[in-house]
Amino acid sequence: MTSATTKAIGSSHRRGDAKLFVGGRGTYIDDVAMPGVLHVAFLRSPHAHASIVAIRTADADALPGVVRVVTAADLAPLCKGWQTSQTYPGYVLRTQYPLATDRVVFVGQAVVAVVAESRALAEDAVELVEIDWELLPPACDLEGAMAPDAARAHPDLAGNLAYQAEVGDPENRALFDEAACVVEAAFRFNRQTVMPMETRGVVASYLPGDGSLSVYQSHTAPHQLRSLYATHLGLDEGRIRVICPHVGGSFGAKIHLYSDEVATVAISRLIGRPVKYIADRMEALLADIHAREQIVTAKLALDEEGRFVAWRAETRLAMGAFSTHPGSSVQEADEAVRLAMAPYRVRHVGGRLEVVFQNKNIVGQYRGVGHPIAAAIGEHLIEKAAAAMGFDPVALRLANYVADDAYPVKTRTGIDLDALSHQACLRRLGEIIDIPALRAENERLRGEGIHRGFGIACFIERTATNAPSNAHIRKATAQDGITLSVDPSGAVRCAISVTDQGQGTHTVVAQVIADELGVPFDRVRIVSGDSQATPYGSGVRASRGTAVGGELALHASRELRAVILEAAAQLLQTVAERLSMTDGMIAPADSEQGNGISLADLAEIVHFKPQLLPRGAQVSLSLSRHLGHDWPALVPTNGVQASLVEVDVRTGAVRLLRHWAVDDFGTIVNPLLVAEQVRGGIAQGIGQALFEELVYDAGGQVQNASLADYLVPLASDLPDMVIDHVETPWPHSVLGAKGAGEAGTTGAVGAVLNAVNDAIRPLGASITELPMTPERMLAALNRL
Amino acid sequence: MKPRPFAYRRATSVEEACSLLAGPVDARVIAGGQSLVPMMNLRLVSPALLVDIGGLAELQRVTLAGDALHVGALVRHRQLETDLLVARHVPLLASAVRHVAHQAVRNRGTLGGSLCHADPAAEFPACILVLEATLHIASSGSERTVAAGDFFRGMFATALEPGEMLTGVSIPLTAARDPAALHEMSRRHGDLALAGIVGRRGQGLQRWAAFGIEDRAVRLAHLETMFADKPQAGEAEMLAALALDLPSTAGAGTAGRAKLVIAAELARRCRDDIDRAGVAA
Ligand SMILES: Cc1cc2nc3c(=O)[nH]c(=O)nc-3n(C[C@H](O)[C@H](O)[C@H](O)COP(=O)(O)OP(=O)(O)OC[C@H]3O[C@@H](n4cnc5c(N)ncnc54)[C@H](O)[C@@H]3O)c2cc1C
Repeated sequence: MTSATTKAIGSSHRRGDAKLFVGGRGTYIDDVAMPGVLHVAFLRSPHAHASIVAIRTADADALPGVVRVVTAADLAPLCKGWQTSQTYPGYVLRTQYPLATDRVVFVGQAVVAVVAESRALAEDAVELVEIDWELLPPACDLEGAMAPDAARAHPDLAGNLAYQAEVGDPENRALFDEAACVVEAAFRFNRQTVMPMETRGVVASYLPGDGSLSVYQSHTAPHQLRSLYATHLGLDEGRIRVICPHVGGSFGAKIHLYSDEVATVAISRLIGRPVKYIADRMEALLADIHAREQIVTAKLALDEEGRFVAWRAETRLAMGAFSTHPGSSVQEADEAVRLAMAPYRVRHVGGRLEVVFQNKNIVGQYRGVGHPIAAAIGEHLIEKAAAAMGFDPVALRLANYVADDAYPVKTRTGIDLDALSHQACLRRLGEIIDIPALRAENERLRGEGIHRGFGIACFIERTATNAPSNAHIRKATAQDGITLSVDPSGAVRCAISVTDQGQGTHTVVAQVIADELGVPFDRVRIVSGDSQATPYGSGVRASRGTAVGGELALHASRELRAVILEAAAQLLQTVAERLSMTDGMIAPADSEQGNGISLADLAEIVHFKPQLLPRGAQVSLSLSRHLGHDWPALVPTNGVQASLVEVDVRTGAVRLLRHWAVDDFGTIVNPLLVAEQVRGGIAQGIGQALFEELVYDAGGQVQNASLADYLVPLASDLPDMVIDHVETPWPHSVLGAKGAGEAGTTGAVGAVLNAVNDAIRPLGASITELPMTPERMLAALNRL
Repeated sequence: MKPRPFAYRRATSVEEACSLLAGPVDARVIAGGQSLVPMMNLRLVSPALLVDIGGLAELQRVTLAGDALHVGALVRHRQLETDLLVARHVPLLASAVRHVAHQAVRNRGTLGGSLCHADPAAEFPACILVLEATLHIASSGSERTVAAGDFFRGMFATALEPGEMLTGVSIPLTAARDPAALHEMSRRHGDLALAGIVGRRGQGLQRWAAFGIEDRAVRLAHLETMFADKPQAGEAEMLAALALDLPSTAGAGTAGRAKLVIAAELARRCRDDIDRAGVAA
């Protein structure tokens, strides 16, 4: 039982819905049933780059059970196509359509849709569609993407460069030439994808009778979808309702809008019947956003004392054939260059990014967006410099950090940082690991031929995107809102614009409301994910659920509490200032029990017997609150991770022995959920470091589009993880919470990279290509 | 990822299964379904008729028959892992199971399915090669046997003719009692092998096989001769022998070279295990 002494905030409430999910009683997108629903399957391009000469659909049309075979020409009158909403000066964009028009530009691009009575029938019919292709040279080589004779991903463009930018200080060669020590490295981060457990899916129903459209979609931002569908399909936004049912993970995959999703909705509009599209696992691998693929060169200059003098990083991102929508593909490269070395005082920080078109699937915003790369390149070079100059890597970091008491600061790349705690986090790490002893043990084992390595990576995350005055993602970062109501039973209803994709937003928001309003946790129910039932807002992305949703809940609860106490004061013939509410009981703060009234009794009176209240304005036990530009655009967080690995130098295998994380998420509303987020995030970072890679051949064919070959780490592949915290509340909000969803992924990549390199450095080896497969390890160890 | 349409029959006897397989439509046996069903869902194979042999009790037994242990085609991986006769007489098979998938797959996957599927990276084909087992094959009205060494013909290809099915495997007890070892490397626990080696040392003989490297499980003749001549051979000699035994891998650039390097290390581990077991015995 929740009592006055146990606050909900700070306690590890379990997710109320977790039992439902584990028991198979969740309502995921494929569980959404509608009478007469038809099923969609797509013919997807088998070619990386080809012209569509002719499409013959007669055989498919004739298959019993097939309702309609749809091509780009059918949808052209309904949908004009779109470009990304997040633009940058000079960003070259190509228009995307629901189905490929005259040319396909990546393997897996949707070309023809078949609508049939079952998905199996639709797939049968897809096999009967015939397309004449004229193959075009595919642009798939990242290193050679800008060569004058390189194949062009879009032949109507002069080249493959979609965007370039200089970031921070201009290059200053002299600083590197004159430095006491310069370390540099060329990194390759290979392409991966996101892989939420539940694939994407849409159920759309357009009613020709009244021109209304209902869309159920596995997505994290229903209001954004609604606005986008209105725009792209030319419909009245007021007649569109978007519902996101239970979402089985997103990690960024479900913050975007995909052509197959628009096609499905457009098809319902075209045929006036409900249709369902559920991406299968192969489609997920081919057509969910991809991520990370970048080649980076970076260098760090230090003076004799080990002070960081200058840093420069240049990256080239393989964007794919289009920019993601509505948030753009550029972010992955931009954040990588901007955030590298952000924890440190460095006199001169600069970089350059190039974003290139390729005949591959689109790169979008996957958990961490650029930050894992920023941390990996900076932290790798710091440990390399420590080894080269004979410094202790912990001491070298401590000597160069921006001091915890020096914030706020602006980085040389233009990023505002505040309330960070690198020193405290690294010190805390030193308390939970005896680092000198661990290193000594590694040294001893090396004598026995056992190659262990210990690596550290600290990082900054930019979380909790909001609708700031400089927001440049139209229709993605909006004002957020909450509506709180007290029902006659005293139950509290909350409708909120942030959503739950499985991470527990509902639980956290309910905890804040329970405390701030003064009601039992169990009496609070949250509704989200329904554009018709919740205030407009941005849903979840970028670890914003708690920081934004919790803050909204706090303010709305405090206001509603004031309303409640005011009404109760009238009944109890006292003044509101003398009352407080705890566990749903309103009583004078300074008198014995019995003199109060329960929230349920008060609500009963307000709803059914308002005549018992003094005359005047009707008491409203329902109110809405919004949060917009009165809040910074992004909330920075920081943390440090460490990894202990053992490298089998004879086979190239890397064994993970242990992993540690110390994060500063500000106020922690729910330690259990935060620890789960960190663990899951670390698992995905480890995936990037050691396992996950989507392999494209030179012709743009995906070589491993199944989960047998695309290796997502399983629980049995992961080490024990120790999770700890430093709490520096965010000073610009009342709740003080920061984003916690991505830090695990962001720090893990660099920590494992550094641990592996620590293990093999004494052998004169180094590795900077991820994932670190056995083959790459053996090559690094000079054994091939 | 839905299969093409197919018909389904559950056989009540080996004879009935064989006659269904011999029918006019393209028919396939389904045993545990752990490899076949994913392939059907990916539309890589599309039999018109599935003949389910899951109910044939006579194929589910492990029995001692003279100087051989007979393992029925329908013996599940989990059964191999826990069967007392297997543990006692063919410990190599029992230990190999620990590298095969996870419990859920082991509960359904069968030895016969694994052998007939002939995945180049599967463990059991290589095991029965070094154990010099005999495969029992039935077809409508007749039976024949094939030596393990003649059974695997390429990637997912075996000596089974249309209309035939595997009923079981006989493993000679003398071979099965020799010290033997299996080592493999896979990226994740339970995955098919990136490279694997099985070895057995008998009275004056060496039997070695590799899996996960070429297009099928293969015997390693040069490695066998080398170990016979030089039991304590070093890495360079093992690499040289393996390059001769695995020519297409040796010629396959750095990826092939990596497999050979790993295979040599796995062979060393097998050899050391066998040495230890030999001493203990
Ligand atoms: C996630 C996962 C991981 C796996 N990991 C491994 C691993 O690490 N190592 C490994 O070896 N295997 C692995 N497998 C495969 C597994 O071992 C399968 O069980 C095995 O390959 C096939 O056995 P089955 O009984 O399921 O055969 P089925 O899938 O039913 O059939 C496979 C093929 O064999 C044929 N067939 C089956 N039985 C007979 C018979 N008696 N006569 C003639 N033809 C027959 C079928 O027609 C079909 O072509 C894995 C499978 C999965 C799903």
